[in-house]
Amino acid sequence: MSGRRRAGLPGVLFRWAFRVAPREHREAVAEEAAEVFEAGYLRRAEEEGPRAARRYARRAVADAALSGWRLRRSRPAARPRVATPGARSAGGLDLVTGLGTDLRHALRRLRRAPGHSAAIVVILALGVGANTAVLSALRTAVAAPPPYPAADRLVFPRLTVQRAGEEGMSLWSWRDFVDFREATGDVFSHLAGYTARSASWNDPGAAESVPYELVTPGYFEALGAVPALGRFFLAEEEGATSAPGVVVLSHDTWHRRFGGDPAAVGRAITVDGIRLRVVGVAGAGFRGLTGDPAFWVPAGHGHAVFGEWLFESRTNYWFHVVARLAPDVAIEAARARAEPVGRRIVTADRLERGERLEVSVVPFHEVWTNPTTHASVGLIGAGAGLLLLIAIANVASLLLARNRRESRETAVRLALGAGRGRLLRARLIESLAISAIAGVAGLALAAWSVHGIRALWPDRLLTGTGGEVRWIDPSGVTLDLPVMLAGLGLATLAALVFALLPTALRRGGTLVPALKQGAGSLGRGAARSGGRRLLLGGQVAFSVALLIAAGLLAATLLRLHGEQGGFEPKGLLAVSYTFAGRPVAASETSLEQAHEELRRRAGLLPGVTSAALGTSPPLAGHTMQTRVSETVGGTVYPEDRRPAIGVHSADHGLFATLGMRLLEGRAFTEAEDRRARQVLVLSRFAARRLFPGESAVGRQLRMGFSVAGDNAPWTVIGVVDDVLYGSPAEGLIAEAYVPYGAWHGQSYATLFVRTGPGRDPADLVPELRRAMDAIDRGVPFWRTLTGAELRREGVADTRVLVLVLSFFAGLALLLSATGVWAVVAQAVAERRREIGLRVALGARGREVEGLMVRQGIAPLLAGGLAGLVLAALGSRALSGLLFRTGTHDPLVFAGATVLLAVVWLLASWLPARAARRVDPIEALSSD
Amino acid sequence: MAAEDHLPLTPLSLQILVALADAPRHGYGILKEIEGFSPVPFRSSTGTLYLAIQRLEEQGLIEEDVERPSPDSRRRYYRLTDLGRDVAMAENRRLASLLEISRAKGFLGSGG
Amino acid sequence: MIDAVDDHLPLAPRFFQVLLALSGETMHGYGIIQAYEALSGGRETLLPGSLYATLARMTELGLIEPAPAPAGEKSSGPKRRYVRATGLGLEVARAEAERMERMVGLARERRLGPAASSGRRDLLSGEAR
Repeated sequence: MSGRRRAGLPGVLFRWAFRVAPREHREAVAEEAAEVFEAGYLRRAEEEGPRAARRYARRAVADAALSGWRLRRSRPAARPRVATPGARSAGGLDLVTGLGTDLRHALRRLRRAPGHSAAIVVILALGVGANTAVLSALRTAVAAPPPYPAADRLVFPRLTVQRAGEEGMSLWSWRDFVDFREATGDVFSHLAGYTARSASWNDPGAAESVPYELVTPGYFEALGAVPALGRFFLAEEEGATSAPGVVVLSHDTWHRRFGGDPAAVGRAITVDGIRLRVVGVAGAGFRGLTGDPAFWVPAGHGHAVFGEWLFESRTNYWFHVVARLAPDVAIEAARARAEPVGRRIVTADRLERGERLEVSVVPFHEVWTNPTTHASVGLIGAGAGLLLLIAIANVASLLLARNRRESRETAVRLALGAGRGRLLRARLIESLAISAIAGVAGLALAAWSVHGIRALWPDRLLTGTGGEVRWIDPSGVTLDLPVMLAGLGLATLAALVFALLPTALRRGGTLVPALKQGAGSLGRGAARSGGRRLLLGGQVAFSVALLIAAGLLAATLLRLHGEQGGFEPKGLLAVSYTFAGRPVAASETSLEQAHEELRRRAGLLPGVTSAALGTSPPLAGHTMQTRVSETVGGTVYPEDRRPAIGVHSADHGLFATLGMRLLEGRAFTEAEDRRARQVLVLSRFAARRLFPGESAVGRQLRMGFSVAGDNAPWTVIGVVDDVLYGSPAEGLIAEAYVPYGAWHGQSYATLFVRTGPGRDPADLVPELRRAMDAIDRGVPFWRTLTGAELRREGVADTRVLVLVLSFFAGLALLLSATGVWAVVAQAVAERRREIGLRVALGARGREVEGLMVRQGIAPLLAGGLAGLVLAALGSRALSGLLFRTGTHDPLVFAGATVLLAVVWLLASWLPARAARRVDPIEALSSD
Repeated sequence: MAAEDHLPLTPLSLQILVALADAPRHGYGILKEIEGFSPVPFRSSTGTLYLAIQRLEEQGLIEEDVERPSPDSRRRYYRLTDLGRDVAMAENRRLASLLEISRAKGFLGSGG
Repeated sequence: MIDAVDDHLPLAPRFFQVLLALSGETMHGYGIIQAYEALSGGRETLLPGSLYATLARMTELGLIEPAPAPAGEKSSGPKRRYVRATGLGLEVARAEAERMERMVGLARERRLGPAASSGRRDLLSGEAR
């Protein structure tokens, strides 16, 4: 081809048409193609004439344009990666300009698979919404600021006489308090005493037993409360004994009893038969420090109700003290000042041998939070985290499935020249769109759940170490936006990773297998992809772990509820009272006689089968705790290792009346009710702890409490079943029951009454009231609890935990069921053709059904095993919250596993049934 | 249109025509028949198969057989048209000549 | 690139014919067009646009590869691009030819094929009448 000939116009047209080809092709081959065209054209013109040449030119030009177009569409994806810097900047520009298109594309994709998109949204919304609701409530409960202004300036001064090996009591006597207040006036701007009592509300309205606080003036001011109406107490009202006394109503009581009438101030109320004049109403939300008192009275009210003795003896410790630091006084300065004052007040002659004075100024937050709270919070947090993980695993597995299904489309798009960055961005936008929708749905769900949480809010929550109750107003539970955003952010991140990973990893060269694979290839189940199986297994594992945690706590609750609570709550009534002052004026004998007379009269009431005297009702907290120093002929405990032991008095009928089983030895005799002997009955826990591997009966021990003096040893005469006195969270400690006779001289007691069938123990209260009035008119029952109420009170915290964890576990079950349901449903859809073929080949419905169900079994087994291991390792963290439930309780472990397996298989089977309905012809004719 | 204008046929189209040469078949029957043609597994998706069937029908190479062997109303049976038969013959002639060349160039064993 | 020969079957007719046209040789575009036309006795043409699209695709699939110009050919014009079949391409063409042969044989059995070149020709063509 020397002296190149040109084809003129046809050549120009051909070159122009070939411009459709992508640039790299155009540059490489356009000129050569044009030459080939010209050669063919000229040859035809020569050999066949101009008409044939023109026809050839027409066809070739059209073909050049078409081929150029095809080349453009099938440009391999790997090509653009080796782009020149110029090309890269052009690509960057492209990334910005195509945003709108991608957004539209993402929304179209979402609409194209509405069920799938909805599943992702629902799961994310459930996971994030539930998490947000519960964690919001938790943050309100724990992280919310205390309901007292400038709470960091609040302190609890404590003056404790510490006896060796005994838990010190941080209670004050009146005269110590007065001295301390005088000496520290420059350190504390307000120093106030407070104690919780309960009274019979007589008038106006219906009579009932209500809690109230006995406080000194300055209490409200120390806590920063503001009256809603009227005023708080004046300094001169502190010790006033002249009638009528004054009272400040709680906002709640004001509404319940006076309908919120402002004229209530100045009106009179009657409690425990004493008239009091209303001088003020506390602001809404102010609930004092001990729970939810109905009203406050000045400490002087105690003169009328409890007698002068409360105020006279320096050794009559009966109230707590709270103070607000004076401006510019640091807590260290307050401590430095309080110490010498304390030493001056508690003179050495008051201390017995071995006793030690401890003066402390405890910051508010140390009382406000306690270890049980931390354990519960940790548990709920862990539960929330597991739930979020399940939701994320679920969404990830759905996204992986979608990617698998769309791998063909992805390959085509890559092959058609869509840049990888472009595809990634499309996925990114899609994930963000899903997250945004799920976020809104989750927010709505959380807002709705918060209502439920408010309704389920327990009466009391998170009791502080000093008996102070943290009252958290359920109406204060609001959505916590940071929690919500954190959960959503995490879920979005996971969604992004799983949406982007497969696209990012896809290589350009895998086009043909992906295309050829088509939907017609056989034997590929959705669950067979390793990633999805892992995610499914993970869901099972987390679900099992959550179910087990919830199960263990539920078992604790059940055991606390059931007769295994250590006592029989049915038909039981516990009435606590204190003969305040008056019988004390008489001889000790008369005090004992008064207690016993009440017991006698109670026992004679119709429907009562037995009545007994003791100190503390079960689950209501210890009255007295000390420590065991040694077991005679056994262990001598070092001072810092002495086991704590609760001490209770018990008359001869107490164990029978409470329904406590005697496991060994004997109970107390009637003679021991009268005569103080150094004998005791141990709880089973105590017997095992102190005398491991041997019988405790007949053995002796010494503890920080003795009636015979000189730290005389106690002889064990029997062992009874465990009864929980503290909260389940505190767990069992050793308990010792000493004869009622050893308790002589105490004005305090709890009367236990058991009724026969058909008699509601609560109905007995008025009759007992009359019985008491016959002995000593005006002695109030400051705590009246039926067995059922005792149980409820004792398990309030556990109930909350069980509720929250069951909620989580239920959701986890639902989510993992959804997960496997989606996987199997998808497998049925993906393998329609295979199923159709199998059916066509004679497979029966049950066989194809089984084939589909089997997909979920491997993840179930592996995940279930992992979940059991996870739970076995993690359940130790629960041990402090459990009562009579092992951390590896086999029943709970097995139950949780079986429950999950059943739900899982059901969730697999439901969509698998669709495989039966696959019509082979239809399945084989669709793509 | 002359039979030659349809050439070359895609391999799949020819396979369909050959599959229908001895008897009318429905879609799945065609698939089973084609699978029997070759030890190499049938790789196209069934969707591709049905698209090809549709295109052949549009081109008049095959048609729906109204006389069905069984009264199963869901199944559409197809049979070759005369044109389809001619096109298949032409394509096979074309292939046969290509095979001659292949043999000459050593792409095939000389037997046959 | 797909290595398994079977994965390429059935091969697009045009790919097969290009491989057949190339057979073992190294050719440039115009040479391929001529050889391609010769396969059908001039009935089928390969237009230049299609040629280069086809070559690009076949290169991608690993059926052909660029090659240096054969020793004998010298060009005075701009540098020409030469290609030849790869080992895979030859194998695929061979396998496709076998597949086609089976196909033609089958068609013949069903009276859709041309008369066989062997002794069966008379029998079959006789039946076809």
